Amino acid sequence: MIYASIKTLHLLSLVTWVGTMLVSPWLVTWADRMPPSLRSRMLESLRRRYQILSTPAMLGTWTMGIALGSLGGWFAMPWLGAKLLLVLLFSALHGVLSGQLRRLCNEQDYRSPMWITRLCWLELAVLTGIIVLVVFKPG
Amino acid sequence: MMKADDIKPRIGARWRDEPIARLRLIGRIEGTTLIALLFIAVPLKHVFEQPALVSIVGPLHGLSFVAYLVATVDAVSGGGFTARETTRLVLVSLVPFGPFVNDRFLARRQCSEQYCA
Repeated sequence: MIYASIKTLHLLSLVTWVGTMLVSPWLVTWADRMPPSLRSRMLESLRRRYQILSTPAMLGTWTMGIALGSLGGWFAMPWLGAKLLLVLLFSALHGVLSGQLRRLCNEQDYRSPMWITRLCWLELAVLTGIIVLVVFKPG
Repeated sequence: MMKADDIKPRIGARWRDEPIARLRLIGRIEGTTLIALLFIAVPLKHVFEQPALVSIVGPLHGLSFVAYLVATVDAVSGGGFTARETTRLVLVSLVPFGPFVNDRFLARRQCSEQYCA
């Protein structure tokens, strides 16, 4: 029961975290095409939502994930090591997006870099690796 | 005249909005859990055969390490850090007492971005 409850919270946090991570780069490039006053309002709103939704969801995912790993005795499995590396990479991408959002909000002349839309594809590639490892549990 | 080392911005000041304040706060937590793990929990497990503390401090350190890395990437992605400074920020998290030693550098960086007195 405890394991299932933690797993539910883990999945809820994960869906929230991944959802905001996937949609934010698109919204940033969309905001860049808006008139300046609307752009700054949109970016500020996006940044605020990123702070109150995505960051707590990331911390929740990690906390519940570590709890699941401890309770289920998964940490000895090699696939989990590989998965943790990929989740660490996904967390780093979260940091990249967070820094870019702050810079876009604080610096009026700063425009989103070209690679920010491609970040979605990198996120999807990392997520694919994570899901394959969780489903097939190789090793 | 006030020297840069005399200036000590409050670590908890606006940590939600300021990436360097946040990095300093998380760095201290990460540094503390690493010291607790290496110098208290691990000796207790291997010398006195008491593994309970490792199973508590271990995950806490793991979580704070992830939070520190994310806060580092967040601060660097916001601009203003060189590649050398970024490497330094990452490496200090792996060394016991590293974040505490590095805190002076971060305090100076925090001061250069805001008024400190």
